[in-house]
Parts: sequence; C-alpha cells; structure tokens
Amino acid sequence: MLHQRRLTTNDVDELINLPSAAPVSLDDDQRDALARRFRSVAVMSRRRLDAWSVERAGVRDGGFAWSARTSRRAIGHGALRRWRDEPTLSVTAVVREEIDELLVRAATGYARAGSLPCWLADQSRVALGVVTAEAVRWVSDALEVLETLPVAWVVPNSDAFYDIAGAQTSLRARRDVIVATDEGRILLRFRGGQPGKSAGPGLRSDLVIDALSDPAGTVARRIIGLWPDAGLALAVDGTLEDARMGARDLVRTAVVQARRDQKIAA
Amino acid sequence: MTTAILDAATVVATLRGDRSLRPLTDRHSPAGLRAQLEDGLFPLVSDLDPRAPLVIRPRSFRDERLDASVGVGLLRGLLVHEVLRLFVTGVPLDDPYTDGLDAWQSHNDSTELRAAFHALDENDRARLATDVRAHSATLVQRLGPVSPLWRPRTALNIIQRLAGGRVMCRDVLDVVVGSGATQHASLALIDVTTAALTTSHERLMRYHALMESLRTQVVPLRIAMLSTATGMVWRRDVDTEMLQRAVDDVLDVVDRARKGV
Repeated sequence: MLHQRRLTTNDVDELINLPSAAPVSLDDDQRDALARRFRSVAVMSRRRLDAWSVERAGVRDGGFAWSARTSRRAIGHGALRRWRDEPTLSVTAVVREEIDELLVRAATGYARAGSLPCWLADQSRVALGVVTAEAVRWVSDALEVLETLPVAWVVPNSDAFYDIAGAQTSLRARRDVIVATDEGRILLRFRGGQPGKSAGPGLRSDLVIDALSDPAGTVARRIIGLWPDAGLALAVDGTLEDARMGARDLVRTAVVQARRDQKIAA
Repeated sequence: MTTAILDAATVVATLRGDRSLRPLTDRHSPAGLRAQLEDGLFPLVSDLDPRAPLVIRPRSFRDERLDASVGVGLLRGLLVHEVLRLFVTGVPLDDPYTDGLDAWQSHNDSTELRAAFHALDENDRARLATDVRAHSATLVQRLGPVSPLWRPRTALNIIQRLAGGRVMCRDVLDVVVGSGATQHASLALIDVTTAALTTSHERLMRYHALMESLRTQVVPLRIAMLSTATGMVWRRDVDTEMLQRAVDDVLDVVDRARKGV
C-alpha cells in the first residue's frame, strides 16, 4: 500500500508509527525462484539494476560521472554521521570535515582511480566550494526532518547490494537512513525533484533488494521516500505482496533492457 | 509592509532581527493556503490535461517581457549567483569574476549557455567581468557575513503540483537561513537580483514566501530582496496578508495565461 503525506517531521513520524502487518522474510525458495527468473533473461554484459532503472522503465542513462550533484549524497552520508556524533557542529563544518577526509584518502593512496576521493582531489578550490554547497543543502534538507524526529536513526555504512549468481546481475538499493523500531527497521530515502508515477515501484524495488541483501531475508517494515523539493513523503509497507511486486518490476526491467540490447545488437 | 533598508545594516542582520520578538512558528496557515489555491484554480484549469501542465515560474510575475536570448545580462546574473553560493558557503573569494566563472563551468551542462559565453567578443567579456566584480562587491557588502550556525543553504528548488497536476509551480530560492523545526519562527529567505527593484519584485517576494510555505508547511519569518545593481534591499515580515496576496497573484497569473493575455 502506498501512503502519501506532506514532508514534515510530524508526518514522517506518523508514517513511521503507522501500524504494520507482522514482519515477513524471504526464504531460500523465493530467492531461488527470483534467481531462476533472472537467469532466464538474456544478458550481454553485466547487468546492474536499481530503483532508478525501474523508474526509468529500463532506459539506461549515459555513463555515470561524478559531479557536485552526484557527489552530494555520498558526502552527505558521511557528514550526517559526523553530525550525529557532534550535533553542536554546523552543517558546513561537518561537510568540510568529510570532504577533507576524502581528500586525505586520495592523497595517501587509499582511494582507487575513478572513486569520489580521486575526483575530489582533481577539483579546483572553487569547484570544491560548489560541491560543499550542494552537500550542505542535501544534509540541511535531511536534518530538517531528522533533527527533531522522536525516534533513533542511523546512517547505514553502505547501500544494500545483492548479486544473483549465474545471472550476471547485481541489484542495488539506496537507503539514506535506517530507523530501528521494536517491530523492525524502517528505511528512509531522500530524493531530488518530485515523485513521478513510478515512485511507488521505485520504492518497492529498494524494499525488496534491501530484504534480499539481509542475511535472514527480513523485509523492512516500511520504506519512506522523501522529496524535499516537492515537500512530499511517500511510503510503501513491507508486506510480502509489496516485496513480490518489487521483484516483478526488477525482472520486468531486466527483460526490457535485454530486448533493447538485442535490438541494438541486431 | 515592505521596508527598504537604506542604512549600512547588512541583509542577514536585519533578517534575523531581535530573537526575543520572533513569533511562534506558524504551521497551520499553509494547509489553508493550499486549499484556497486549489479552490481558486479548479474553475480556471479544470479542462487542462495534467500531462501538459501549466508551469508557473518566478519570471511569470515580471511586468516586462524579457528578451529570451542569452546575452551579457543573463550571464552576469548566473555568475553573480555562483559568487553568492560561494560566499554563503564560506569559500574565500580571490577574484569574483574568475571564481564565479570556475564555479559555473564546474557544473553547468547547458551547451547553449556555454556557446553564448564562448561567442562573446573581448569587449563583451571585459564588460561582463567588470559587471560581475561590481555586482559581487555590492553583494558581499550588503549581504554581510552568514554564520554557518544559521544553517544557510543555497539554490533551493521548489516544485509544487496543484489542481491535480494541471498547474506546476516552480521556484528557486537563492538563500535560506534558519530552520522550520524550531518553536519560534526562524526561517528567512533571501533573493538576489542583478536588476533594479521594481513592483514586480514585490510579487516575486510574495511568490517565494508562498512556495516555501507550501513546501515546508511552515510560514517563513521574513524575506529580503537584494538588488546588486543599486544596493537597495527590501525586507518584509511574512504574514497571512502577504501570503493571501500571493495566492491572488498566482490565480491572476494562471487566469491571464489561460486567456492568453
């Protein structure tokens, strides 16, 4: 079920506390069934699927490139963690600290080519200023909701990944914040722009990939997408039906991509 | 009432004002304003296809029809806004023109704007550089230092879909300081223009305040408009009367757009 609210702390808190059905898990049979479905879809090169590819109905963008806009989330995660440790610091200060640490990583050779630290190290002082401004905005938008949220939240160390053996397929779920409750975890994801018609399927994809990446296969109680630009929040319950729909959307996206690849190859 | 700030007080200082006099944060009015907008829009756009919405932008509130071509004026505005972002973020500025240009080129993907910049001859580039430096000097002097503790953020996008998606209101706020999560109102908006202030800028201030109210469900405390052309600053406390007028402005713009006026 898709819930829609305004993006305020109270509304997000209400979405978190909405009653939910008993927690569900994906078992080995369900994982095997999904793997079989993916294996049956022709693949020409390694396939990477996420909520964005589902929302775009399998249309691939040009290759990924770091920019002030694409780097703000990665920097923002680190900055949010720093702010959690020391809430008296300003947002600008925690963003600067995070960028400085990434630059140190590049300078000491602990970053691989093409990574965010290496890209940052190549930027001018002014371009780093633009990166800082973008990340400050991302973190500030997040804190407008999170700062007064009356529940404990953490920033996960990484996105959720799940590799499907024998299908050359990797799935990735983006999640920005995890709220732990007695009944299970709730995922929060901050998005730019406004939610489109495919926002629900996108959230369901993140939900199912997150469950697949969980060793016990536990489906999160709920996933909440937050669109600060539009002032909207959408939430999908962590039911088995929603997880199934998410999995179906991912397989459908793989099929669409495969057909398109075959047409191009022909 | 709009107050023109003519003395040496900086924009940020006047926006923050006396903390003890700030009203409680108004979280109730935005829902009523949205309902009024929806009610007013329904008869105007009920026959519109939501797949091709009517888009309202800040420029919809300007009196004059602007020249759509990309010239020195537009590039100057873009570069001054880059300088604004850097200044507010606390990046030390060496030369506002080269810094603004570096910042713009580091993220601008518009081939049209890039082509327009490269098409400038030496005289136009020199004029652009002089303009940007002069406007930036006014900007830095009039804006004043922005403490990072006030949580300043720049270039905030706002998208509000109204009337079942038949009307889409878009806006960009140059600078926002403060938080909507506090008990007393602290959210302040700053808009910077490289043009001289006219009556259309009053409408623009109202539009910004309305859009931020609808986005955050919190009525901002104040809004200021700074002209880097003249150094003139207009400041206004955001109140219900101002937001009601903003609703009327939006309805008027939609009505005129539908009639093709």
